Amino acid sequence: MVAKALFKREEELARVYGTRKVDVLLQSLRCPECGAEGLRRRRYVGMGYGDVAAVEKRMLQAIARRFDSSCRKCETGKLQGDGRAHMYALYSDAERSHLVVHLGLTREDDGRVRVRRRCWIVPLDGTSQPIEEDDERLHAWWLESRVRQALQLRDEASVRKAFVQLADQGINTGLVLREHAHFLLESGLNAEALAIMQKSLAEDPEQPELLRRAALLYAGYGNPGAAADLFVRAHDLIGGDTVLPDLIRAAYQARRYGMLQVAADQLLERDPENLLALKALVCCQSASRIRSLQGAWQSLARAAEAAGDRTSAHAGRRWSEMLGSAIPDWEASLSARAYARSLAESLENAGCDVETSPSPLIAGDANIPCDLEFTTPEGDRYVVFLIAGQVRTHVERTLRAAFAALAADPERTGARPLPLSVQPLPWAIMRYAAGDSVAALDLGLDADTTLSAHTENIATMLWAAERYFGMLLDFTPDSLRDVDAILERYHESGLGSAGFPLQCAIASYVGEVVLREVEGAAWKDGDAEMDPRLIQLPGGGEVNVLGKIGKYLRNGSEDSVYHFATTAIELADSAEPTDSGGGAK
Amino acid sequence: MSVERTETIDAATARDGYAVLSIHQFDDWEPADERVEQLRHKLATYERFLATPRYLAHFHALPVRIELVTSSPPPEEVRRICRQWNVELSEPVDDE
Repeated sequence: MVAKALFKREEELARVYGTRKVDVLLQSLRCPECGAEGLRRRRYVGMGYGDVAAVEKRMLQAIARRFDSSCRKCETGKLQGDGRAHMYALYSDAERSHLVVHLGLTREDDGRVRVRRRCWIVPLDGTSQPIEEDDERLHAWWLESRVRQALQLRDEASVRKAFVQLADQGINTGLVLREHAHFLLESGLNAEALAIMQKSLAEDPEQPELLRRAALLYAGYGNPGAAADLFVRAHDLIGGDTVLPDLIRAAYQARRYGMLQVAADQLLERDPENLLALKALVCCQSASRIRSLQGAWQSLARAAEAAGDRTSAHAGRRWSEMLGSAIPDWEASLSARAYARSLAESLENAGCDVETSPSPLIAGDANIPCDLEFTTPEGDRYVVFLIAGQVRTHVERTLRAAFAALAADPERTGARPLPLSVQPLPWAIMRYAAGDSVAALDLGLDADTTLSAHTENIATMLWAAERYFGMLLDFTPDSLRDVDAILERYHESGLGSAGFPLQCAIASYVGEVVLREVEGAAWKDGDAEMDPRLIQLPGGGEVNVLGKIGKYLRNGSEDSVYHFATTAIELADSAEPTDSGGGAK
Repeated sequence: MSVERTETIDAATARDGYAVLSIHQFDDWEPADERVEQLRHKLATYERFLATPRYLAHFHALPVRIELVTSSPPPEEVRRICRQWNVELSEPVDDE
């Protein structure tokens, strides 16, 4: 009978490493002098087995081995490997069980040793049971053993070849492909890993962790639609609330508001004060149900207040207040013009002073129309923007330009923008409309967006960091932690964004930190449309600071600018100096 | 320049203080289902273009219009997409 207590630790390791858990031999050592026995645990890495006999061969080699250590009991005899019981444990993730090959040694009177071999399956959290050596289930262990063997080959080419060989032999299960994909991910070959992951999921669709990792990759590649689909599948398999925040982010970025609402509702069922879910809920609402939208903002304001998130609390209070005016529901059948008439009538009945033909806002050479302007009996002045269709990126940009023009309009000092739409509005637009200081900075900031006049951008960044975030940036690599903190304020758990001028101001500062640390590094023009300006390192590497800032805003702290820049600095430091003396400092 | 070329930007100009991205469809809209699907893809391409540093470096502060210029009357589904996406539709005027 296999003592299950011995496998507690093995089970814990199996849960962490899955297929990759190394083999373990629990070997009974014997003192020939006093006869005492004790267990020794030995790890075997990268062993490939095809049957029980091969495992036994490995065990017998260990049993025959000589040991230098002495018996702790009598302190005289040198230990020998041929104690009474030996167990070799191989793990299979597919079967979620260890296979234990047990060798029992008995000594005959004539000195000969008899070996008895038995096999057991020890499931995680289950009861061990004997298994015949020709049982077909054992194929799972032999296969995973070969996968571990392939992964043990250190160089990329050999591992690739080993996986190709497995595939050629028709061994192309979801599990093999999954491990191949994980290997590629560790090697930084993300695109290739994603392709293999998809193949693995086609073979075995019920791999929640793989679904989640593939979804994160898609999200990182800016394909939130595919990411959201995979997160939903992972959530269906795992349940709980571990996947829901990721799903909310992906659904929001893909503008899949039905999915967003479902994910937010589910998260709120578990945690009614969850700020991400409450923000997502606000994003799902529209002017077709004003009271519902106002209620969502009020809930957010209360939860944000309790959590100490002053920015979200401010947005919640401001929107509740704005929607407290006599604003009727925007019936989906009404055009923007018809709704404007209905809105004007309702506001006039409530004692507001309404201008139904307001002058357009002036943004440079552009006249941006607005739909209505009104002043409440309390003296609050609003400029209304009605959006009938979806608020796609170009509409968002136009609204942003209009809000900036409104803030700079001397004729409309103190007037607040009030965007209303029958479709959900992006979080950033609602933040701009709420007018908190961090959003106002983003809206009003000017910077050189060709990333050529860095001095001006850096001055802007230093001023903004001190004025709005209370941070004194000192050009040290450590100050990039503060930059991360600023970006976090705009990331807002994946719902936020930041305007391009602010991104450029931050990029100029981060670039300056790198330039000060790495002698010979310099800004240069990039080639691709996504990389307008890069930092060329003396060792030949390139650093796309602006791209990294965009990634942080999309993905959050996993794309830390601090880690990115310090890694670049370390890499440059470790590079060989060039002949011209332009090497890393 | 047509909706068939789903991955290209037909025209991006600054006009009256706006950044104007145009889609030109000078051929007819047959087969309609295919053209409609291509239009959706093309609009997604335009949306991605609006987020590129190359675009933002020059036009980030400008309000944006997307217009669809067509020389033949589009199917109803195209009109619906234009309303949904807030795309301005410019089509031939019938003088009769």
